[in-house]
Amino acid sequence: MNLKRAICIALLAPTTLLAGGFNHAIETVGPRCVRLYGLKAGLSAGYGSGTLVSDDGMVVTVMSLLLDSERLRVVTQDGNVYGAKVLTTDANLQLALLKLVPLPRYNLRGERAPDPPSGPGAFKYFPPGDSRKLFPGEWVIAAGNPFKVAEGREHVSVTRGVFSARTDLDAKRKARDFPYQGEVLAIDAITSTPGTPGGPLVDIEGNWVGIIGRLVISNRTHTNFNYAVPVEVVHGFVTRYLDPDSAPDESTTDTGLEPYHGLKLFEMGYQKDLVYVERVKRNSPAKKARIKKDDLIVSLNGRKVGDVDAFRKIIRTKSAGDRIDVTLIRNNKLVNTTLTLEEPR
Amino acid sequence: MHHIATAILTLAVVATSPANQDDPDLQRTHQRVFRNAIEQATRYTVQIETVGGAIPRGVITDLDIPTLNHDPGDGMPDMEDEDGMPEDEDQPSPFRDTLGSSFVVADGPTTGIIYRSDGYIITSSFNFVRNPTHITVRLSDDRRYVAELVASDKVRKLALLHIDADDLEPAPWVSPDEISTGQWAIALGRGFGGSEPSVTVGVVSAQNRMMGNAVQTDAKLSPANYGGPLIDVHGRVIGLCVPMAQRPGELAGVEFYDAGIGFALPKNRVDAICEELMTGESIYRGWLGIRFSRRADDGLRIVGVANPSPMYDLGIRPGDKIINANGKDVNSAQHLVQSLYMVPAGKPVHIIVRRGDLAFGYEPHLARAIDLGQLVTEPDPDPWKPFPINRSIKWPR
Repeated sequence: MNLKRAICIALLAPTTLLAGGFNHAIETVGPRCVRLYGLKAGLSAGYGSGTLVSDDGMVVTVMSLLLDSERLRVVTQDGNVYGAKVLTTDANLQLALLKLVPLPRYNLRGERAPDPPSGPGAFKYFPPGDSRKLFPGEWVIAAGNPFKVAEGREHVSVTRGVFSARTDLDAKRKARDFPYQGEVLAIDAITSTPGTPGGPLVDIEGNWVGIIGRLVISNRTHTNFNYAVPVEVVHGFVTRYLDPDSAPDESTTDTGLEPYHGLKLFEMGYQKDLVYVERVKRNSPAKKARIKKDDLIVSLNGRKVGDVDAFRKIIRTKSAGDRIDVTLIRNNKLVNTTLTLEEPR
Repeated sequence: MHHIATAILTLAVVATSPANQDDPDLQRTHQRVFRNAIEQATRYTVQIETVGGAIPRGVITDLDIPTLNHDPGDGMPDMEDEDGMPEDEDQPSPFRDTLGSSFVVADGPTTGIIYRSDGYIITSSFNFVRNPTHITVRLSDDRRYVAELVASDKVRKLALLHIDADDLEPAPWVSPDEISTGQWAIALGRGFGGSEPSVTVGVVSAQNRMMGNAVQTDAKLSPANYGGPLIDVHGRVIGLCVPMAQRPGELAGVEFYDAGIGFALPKNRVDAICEELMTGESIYRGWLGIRFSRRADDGLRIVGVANPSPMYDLGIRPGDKIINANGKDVNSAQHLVQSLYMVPAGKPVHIIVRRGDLAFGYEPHLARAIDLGQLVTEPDPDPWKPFPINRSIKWPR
């Protein structure tokens, strides 16, 4: 009987190899991922995750109501509890940088308990990795505290998936456009869960490649989007705080001004008018690009424009002198041209 | 005996523990294999963009909800009639409400597969629920074309497109008998835009699902990859990813997105469907054209039959009961839907109808909703009129 069981175990053993390959990454992630607890208000969960980025206890997490808590608590893997000071936030990236600080704790007799280690060298942390080395289909591991499952000294929850694609974030949060529209890493691990955003994403070697982003709904699919903000972007955010002059913020913004293109579009006043060209002004950039009346513009710089609003939104992020690749449908054929924008008139 | 057992156990532990600690070699091998497969499949995975069509906002009224029989929920004995007729548009429906609040069709790019070198592309009909006015296809080499929607199968969620090209490299397919449950399955999509497909990885969870139509996978499927290929580790297509559920409706199945339950149509199904779609005729949901009593103790008692309809033409009248459909005993509208929801209009089904103490078998061809007539609720004046057995009428005649 015993022999039989032993053989069974021996036969099954090789399959544990399969799980074993992730051990290294998971062991790396554990001590570098922290749990956040604080204010629960409205739909805000009252808990979250963060990623240690320096040996003196700097933590990157996502912006949330949690950070407004008077009693924001940060718990490391070994169960030590810290307070946290918000060093800086970036409303565009929706990221926040925290610093762990000792939290005075007293026992019943009013005696102060010894502080857990803090200051330089007290924490394990992630040096910035390189998300550009990731290829779609490669394993990734996300860590965090979804649904507040981990308590006390328990390990944070890890979930395995693959890196799906590098894409720009085109998403909504609570019916509003999400401010950050830059590059993100789409993954097939389910991380769009309360408590997970702010946690680290690592590759199979345990290299840090991103921070799990806030819960959003993708505009392209209208489904919850599982993604991470790439480590390069996060690192830029941290560097801007440490040395404000070093790295300029390169986000593209809607200037509110529409550079001159010379196109009069067909607008009926509906919300979703197709981008049909009604008229092309003389000597205008559009004329030079040989755009004609009745052309249907379908994409700008490779990005689909389904309606006039989308067209204007993209144009407003450009300025005079910028060249835009325009794709249009004319007589049921696709035509490509380049539009060079001019000063608004 | 005991010692040997312990020895083997120890051996097993010793042999595996170093690898268990920190040797991700096996995972690296997987990554390499996946990468090769993905590079192969990227060549025949295309991006589809649509312009125009219904505004993707608010509640999607799925007008194609077939309500061959409506899902009666949990019995609902207080309601008089089960609605077995095409829905009145204004009437609230359980599907519509649940879908409307949970899912709205987006207008982002979608995915397709090169099917034939002469310009035929297959994708999921889900991608055209909005009836777009313009469709464009972008190949992996960035060439773009205006595409024509040849026809679509609203039952198995497949759509056939054609572009004006004749030098395409069609996708290689895995023969259905080569597919094995548990094998790696990688889903590719172009729904996030960009120049490369997105990737989700899982295994084949089951075969012959959805009445033998689909392969099931736990690779995450969502609007980001509906219409795209589910591939094996050699880069060959296991199936075309489609939303599906055990209920009818154009959006049926989208609620499973990212849930680890996804479906893909294998080669034999795709070939059979495409052969029909090549004629330019779309495939619609099939209807019997009957309405059932909603009383829980009534079984499937018919209270109304559309005239004309496949059932009316066979002589079925209010008061008759359906007791078996396609070989399965049925005693609720839900049962009936579950045994027939994959049968499109024009195809025959086997129905056993009981009148009084007699039961007869029929083979009606299901009808399109549009071909059904007014509802008749009067029972047959001569209830004992004998029925011919196994009658089959091609419908509409």
